[in-house]
Amino acid sequence: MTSPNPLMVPAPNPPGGASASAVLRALRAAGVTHVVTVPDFVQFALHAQLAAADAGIAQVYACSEDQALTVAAGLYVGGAKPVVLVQNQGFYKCLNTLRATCIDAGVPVVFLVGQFGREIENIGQPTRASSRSMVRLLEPVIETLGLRYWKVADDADAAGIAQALAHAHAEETGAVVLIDRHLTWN
Amino acid sequence: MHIGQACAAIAAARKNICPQAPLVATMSAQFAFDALGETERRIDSVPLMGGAAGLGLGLALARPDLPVIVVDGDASLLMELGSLVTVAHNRPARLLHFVCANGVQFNGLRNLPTAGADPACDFAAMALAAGYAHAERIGDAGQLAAALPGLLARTGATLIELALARDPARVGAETPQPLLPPFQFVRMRHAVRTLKAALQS
Repeated sequence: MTSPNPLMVPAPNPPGGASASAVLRALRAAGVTHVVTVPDFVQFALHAQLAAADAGIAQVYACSEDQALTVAAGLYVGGAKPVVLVQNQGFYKCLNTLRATCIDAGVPVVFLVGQFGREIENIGQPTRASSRSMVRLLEPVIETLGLRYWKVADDADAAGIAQALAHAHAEETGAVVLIDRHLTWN
Repeated sequence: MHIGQACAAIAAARKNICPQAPLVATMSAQFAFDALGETERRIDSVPLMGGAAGLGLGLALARPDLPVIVVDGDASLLMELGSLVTVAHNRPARLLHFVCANGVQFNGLRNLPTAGADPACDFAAMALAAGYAHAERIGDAGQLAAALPGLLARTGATLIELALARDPARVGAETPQPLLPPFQFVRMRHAVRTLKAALQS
């Protein structure tokens, strides 16, 4: 009998992380009306809570992150208060649309970006030290864009969502909430 | 039909039938609407190819009480072709999505072919396949003007492929392209503020 290829064995999800319910409470408290999304592996638990009938926040699915962002921009102009939920790969994909809408046009969109693909050795360490480019490059890219970001690694950090929204709307720009690791399902 | 004729028909219908309807434009259509002085309740996806359908969908979801008119470009829509699926999936109450199909990028400047020019894309068929409630192709200005009252009364997502003639290319070695006017780079910021305020009033 051959042993499984260690590269093909999923690592267990280490304990810890912010809960989906804490993130949802923070979004509700901040008056968010829509979560526009290309779904994120890291935020599965939040997608599930948003899909519940009593979530109170509409979940809008888009085919690409660029579309998610332009839909969010239209929602904002129409009087709604959306956020965009994507994973790190999707954030990279929509940089030109982010440049046009949030930076040039001043549309205050907050992104909830899941740090997809962190290796278990990187949990608890700076993401800039990750061996994986999609994780390692995210904060430097956000900084290059001149945007601020907040990290959510546990429930207490969910307060950063309100801060990010307040900053984005006051400064008429984008802001990023980094979902540091898999949201828990409670 | 040229793009100026198509945009003139759309602007006239909006003025007469639903002046409250937000108008989203991009690429050649923005210059055609500029020439017509069509500035009220308008936002352009610029400089941003591919964003018009998403902007229109967001407006329609936020304001289901209003019809929303999008005048897209074929090259722009091809860049985010999945927008057809995103629009259909989210079931806007009233979204009238025009696509200016002339098969070129930089219409009237260099007329470089889009990837969808040959073989020719059938945008109306693709919209129906994506789930739009109605789609058709119109290639005559009179036919468009006659159809617009009915189109503006439709509910759900409607796509009209405007089969357009290309404007003559006017840029070349003897007449190089100029720098773009500064307003092109700030007009979307201006429109975000003015359209948002108009929709709140």
